[in-house]
Amino acid sequence: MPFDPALMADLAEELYVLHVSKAAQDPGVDALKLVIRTAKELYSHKQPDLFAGGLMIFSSIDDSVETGIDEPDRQFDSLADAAGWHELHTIRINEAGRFDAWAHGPAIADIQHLAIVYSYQPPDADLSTPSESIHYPGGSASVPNTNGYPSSFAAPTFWELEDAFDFYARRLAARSTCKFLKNVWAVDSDDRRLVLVNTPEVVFRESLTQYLRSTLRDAKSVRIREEQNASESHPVDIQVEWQMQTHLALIEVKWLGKCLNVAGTALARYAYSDARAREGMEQLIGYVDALYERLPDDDVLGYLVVFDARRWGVSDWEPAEITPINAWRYEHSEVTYDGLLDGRTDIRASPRIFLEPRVARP
Amino acid sequence: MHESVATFDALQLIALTSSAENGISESEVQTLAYVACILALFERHEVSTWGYGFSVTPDGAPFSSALSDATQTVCRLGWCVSDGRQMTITSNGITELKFQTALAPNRIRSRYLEGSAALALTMPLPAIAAALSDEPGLDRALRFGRVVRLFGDIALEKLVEQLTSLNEFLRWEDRDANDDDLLVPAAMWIELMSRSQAGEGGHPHAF
Repeated sequence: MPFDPALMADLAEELYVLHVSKAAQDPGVDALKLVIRTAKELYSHKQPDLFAGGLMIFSSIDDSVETGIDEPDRQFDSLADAAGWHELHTIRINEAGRFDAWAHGPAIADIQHLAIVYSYQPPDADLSTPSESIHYPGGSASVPNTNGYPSSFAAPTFWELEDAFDFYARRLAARSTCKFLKNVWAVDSDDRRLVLVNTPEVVFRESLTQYLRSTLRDAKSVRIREEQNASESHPVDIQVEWQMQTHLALIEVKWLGKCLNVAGTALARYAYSDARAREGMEQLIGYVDALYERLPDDDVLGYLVVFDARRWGVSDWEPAEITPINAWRYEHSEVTYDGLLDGRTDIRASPRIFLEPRVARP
Repeated sequence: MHESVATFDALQLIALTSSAENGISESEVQTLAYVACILALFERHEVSTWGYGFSVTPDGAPFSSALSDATQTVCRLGWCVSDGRQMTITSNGITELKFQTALAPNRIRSRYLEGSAALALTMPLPAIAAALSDEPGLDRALRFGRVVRLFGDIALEKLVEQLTSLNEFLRWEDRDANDDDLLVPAAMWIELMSRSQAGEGGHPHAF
């Protein structure tokens, strides 16, 4: 079946690559590639959110045409050196392959008719993702960042699952930066992130699965358990297999805290405490042991991922006033597993992910 | 013939990703070579002219034994070095690649490999592999859960339908000579695959 023309038309409106191609053809696309390569390398030396005043990277579409901009404040042979300049705001890749740098560069409007420009603005207080755009002759297009990474051009990839978990916990889940996790909260009038939506486990699984699919290198498959098809062969929430290895990871996802009822009108009658995490660990141990019996030659590792949305003293929907101490009470409350993991090198408790409330810290 | 083109493809893809991605694994070489082959189909080449075939594992990853052998060859000959996970090109490899790129058949396929590798600038390598699982041939293999030869009749017909519609939408046959970069159709195609997975109204990935 051919692609839907309406879908292609919508997509064409969104894709900055197409806009650049239409505006500046191959020279524009070449300049775009150079700009993106530069951004990616620069971000490998200095994290995007450390560019507090923003960042701009541009490359001329035609080096033979004078841009008429001011001489650079500094010049660098390498991006590692450029990243070390505290005042860096704007970089141009010059025709000699060196990097011209400014503390306050030219305005985008003054150069985009002759160059491809990438602009980065750090997230403001209300947004958790940065604002990134590609500017080209005659227009601009935003750079999508649906996963909520520090930058779309600083998308992480990992060989090790535990490194992937660590990044996810710190950078995407803790503040619900990921687009999926934004929808896991029941929104009260002040959007304080105190209560979860009904059946939040669906969102947590989807968020983690999509993240692992786009970050784990050499993963042969990252499979999510279908609710309606839960079977003995795939009882865990997420299963990861790697290419050319007999390595297999089983991931069980649990959440702690309170959620709404099905109707969304009140708190559900149940709430989950750390006992739920211990139940999840027992389940995981059972799954791993069962899989060993079926696949004795495979290396199986089990991981329990706990999303912790516990708040102290929330008893209504919508919740009453909550003190900062109560909102943040469980931030450092680690779950103990009472000897369940003794002698088990095949079961890992990955970091409990404390989901931060939108309440000032105590 | 398939050994020499596979060797060139492996060397070229490793070179193209050596600095931006810090190297590439064998399975990632397979993925990008597959996408390059798709781009050749997009420009209406016959699949038989690619030089080697692909099959697909039950988990839906494209695989070519010729390409697998080639990735080992390029390391054995000192053109690439492997750290056990990913391969990067050596100075000897750069010299060899320069020589091989000058050969007429390789000049043509270079465009497709460059278009494929350029995707990795705008989309993480794992995301490219994940997006591919909805490609008709790979999808069919996933459904049947067994090793199948890719580009078989049914899957090829569906894939060609998709690529033809994309070709016509982009008016690719009428393009200017200066409007030749395959990153454009590669980006559109992989995003269409990615949205097929997410369902209608799925999220744009990167472009």
